[in-house]
Amino acid sequence: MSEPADVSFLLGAVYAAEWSNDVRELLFSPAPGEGGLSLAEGFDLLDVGSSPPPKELIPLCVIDEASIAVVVSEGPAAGTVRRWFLDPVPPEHQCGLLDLHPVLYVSSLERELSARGAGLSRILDEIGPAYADSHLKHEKRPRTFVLRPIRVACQNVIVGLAAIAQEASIDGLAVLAWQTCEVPHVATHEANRALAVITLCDAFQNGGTMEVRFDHPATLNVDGKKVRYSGHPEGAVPASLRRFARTVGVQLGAEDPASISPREARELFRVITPMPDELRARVDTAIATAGIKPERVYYTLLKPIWRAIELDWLLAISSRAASILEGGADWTQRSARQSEAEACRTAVMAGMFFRRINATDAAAADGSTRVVEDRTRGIQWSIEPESATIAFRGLDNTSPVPWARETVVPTTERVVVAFRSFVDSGTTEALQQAASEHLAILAVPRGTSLPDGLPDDVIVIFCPDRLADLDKAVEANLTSARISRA
Amino acid sequence: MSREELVAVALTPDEDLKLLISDIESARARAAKALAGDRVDVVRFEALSSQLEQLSFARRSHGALEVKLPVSANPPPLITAQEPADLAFLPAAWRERFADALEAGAVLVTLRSPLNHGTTNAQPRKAVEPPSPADPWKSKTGARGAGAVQERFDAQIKSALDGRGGSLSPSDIQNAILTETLRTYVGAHGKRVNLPVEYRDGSRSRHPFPLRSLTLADAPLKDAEELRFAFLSIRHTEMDAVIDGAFLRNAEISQPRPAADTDDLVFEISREQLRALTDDGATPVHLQIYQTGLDTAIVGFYRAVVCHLLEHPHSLSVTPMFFQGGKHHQSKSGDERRNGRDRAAESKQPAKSAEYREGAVWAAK
Repeated sequence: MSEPADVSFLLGAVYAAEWSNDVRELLFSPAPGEGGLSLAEGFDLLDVGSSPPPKELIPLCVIDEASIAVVVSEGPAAGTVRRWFLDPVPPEHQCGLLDLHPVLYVSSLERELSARGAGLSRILDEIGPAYADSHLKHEKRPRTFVLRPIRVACQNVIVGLAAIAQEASIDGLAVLAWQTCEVPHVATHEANRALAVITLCDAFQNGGTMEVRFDHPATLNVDGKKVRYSGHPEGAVPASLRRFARTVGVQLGAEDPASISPREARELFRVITPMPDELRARVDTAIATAGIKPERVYYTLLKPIWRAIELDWLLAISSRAASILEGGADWTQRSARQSEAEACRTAVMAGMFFRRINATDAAAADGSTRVVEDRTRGIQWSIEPESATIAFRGLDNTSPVPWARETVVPTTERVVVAFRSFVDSGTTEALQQAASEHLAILAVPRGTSLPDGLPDDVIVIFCPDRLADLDKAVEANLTSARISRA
Repeated sequence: MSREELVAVALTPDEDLKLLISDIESARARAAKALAGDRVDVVRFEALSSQLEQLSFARRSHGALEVKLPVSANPPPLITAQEPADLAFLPAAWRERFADALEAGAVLVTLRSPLNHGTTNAQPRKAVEPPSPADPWKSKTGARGAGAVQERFDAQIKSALDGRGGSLSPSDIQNAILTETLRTYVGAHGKRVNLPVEYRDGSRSRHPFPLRSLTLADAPLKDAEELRFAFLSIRHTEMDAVIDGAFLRNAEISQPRPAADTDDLVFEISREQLRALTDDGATPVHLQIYQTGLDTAIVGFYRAVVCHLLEHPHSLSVTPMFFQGGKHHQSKSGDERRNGRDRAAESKQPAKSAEYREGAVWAAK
């Protein structure tokens, strides 16, 4: 798709094809029919947008009131379909990948829109009310085989709806409804990603093969009447989900168009689990060499049992990470448990410290409404496995380091922290070495007695939790890991 | 990875340390006796052990007797003079010094710390590949619903019995299918196979399930004491009018814990209760069990039934009663319930027995 000629050919194919009214109304076409949009109108929209678009963008169709789909006509990304926001958005969200080429995109739109009405009324008029009646009204938790509605919303706008149930007869998940939409304040494909995360986490939690089927029949009791569904209204892996999967390099429905096979589920699970590059490399290595089930690692992060920095720490510093991810050694194996406990409690401390330094939420500081989503500083971490320390980058040099007894302001680009509950001479030596170039910090639980002779240039900070509190948090995480598959 | 280090430290205990050690010993004893999945005493033992380890680390720097051990060693975490232990895990040159210290009243604590500077010196392990994704399951006969579940469970057991590997995986198998399929294979002809039981959370029961282990009868024991039990208490209180009791306590069984722990717990409780009910096999008893669909409890209970029948073949028969849909029973007032009990006693049938189906009896020939 690197030649401009391909783009003309693909766009020609789009313009020449017969589309439903729903699609025709959204498409920018050189010869729009009645009620259609012209290419010129598309270019006008691009021009009046808040930021000037690159000249190689060709408008393809309307996405929502603040963004349009465009096709890249030249360059390395030629032929791809992107989302151009007309309102100001952070640069990393502008021009997000929507699909690999315009024919695929418009065809998938056609399929998606043709089933949207049926899917919406199924969820909103049948499955939702039936579930409210059978479970919500009685404050009853659903068993895995119960058909459960899922709703994903962002700032009070619903961006995803689904209905799923574990099906013992296929030992997999049956999906009766699954649909998403793009809205102006949510990043490209984020609704698809969020709903895919919920779906795959549910499939993992329920046990089974991880197969997700979209053609499995189900019967529902709605107001005393039996309603029978023959599967998802599209009868196959939904077009929006396949489109999203294509953008992340995964082909869904390749083995069976109506199913995400366990192999495809594993691939999709991997790419939709957000991880910094360093952690992703560690996760891939651990999976390849330590026999860890990949789905367990992704679920661990997404639930989250262990947060990204915590898991990164465990994988980087402990040869017992595989055991920890499965819930840890038996309590009777105290020696192994001792090592795991220290790795885990320092992970919990690191996680607490990171959340504290990465947060920007100043509660009602300016008296206006608080938006707490995505309010992070973007602090980066990097783990030094041999010294078992974490280097943080991007700390605000006007804010004091948290948990310190005296005010300390980061004066260096990197801040190196050793999280420990037992301090030995090796730790102090490593920190002393780090202190020659960076701010070096020793973080210990509250109430820890420190050894004599700590170097003056090493700052000691005290986690607000005592050792026993940290161990309680560790126990909760390990218990979750042990019983995560119901 | 950082380097793990293992050291043995001899500490001279003061009063506080003695008290801590005594608390650890008591917590360890209680934790060992706790029911499967009950973590209260385990957590207490671990918290106290952590305190001891923190204290020991602090005292190391004050000249305590200590020696490094190979990280592959697996020494006991705590040795006191009261509990003499084999010190073979210590380097030969150090054994006598530690033995003397112990004799003089010291305690030996082993400390394993994972965050020492350097690359990991754990035993190099052979790379283990992750398990492959499962194969999707599809009925070979085109069965759907319960028929497909039956076919899947059946295929799974057959494959394990034919020596093609695998284990009994009862998670998510419906109550009646699970019970009846297990019965079929317990009474099947052939060489006895003790099949491991593995649940979908990855936990494995301590006790395998004995298949092809009994010759089963078609009818319950004659002249046996008849008892009706709900499988689990509290689940369906409407049944109280028609049952003699509940076989298992819901509060003990329905706890968040690895599935195999629940199976083991139910097995152990059931073994004990069946022994008590039959007076160690001396009194014949016929049980009607009104079942709920908790797979772990079903496997644990019927394993106990099989083991009991293997020991005392003519002391027990069990008829599973499967709920057939609709409401279990209408809630009744106290008087109505008492009347219901009278009526049920007269007919020797539950008040609304039509809602239950009698399963095939578990009794030895």
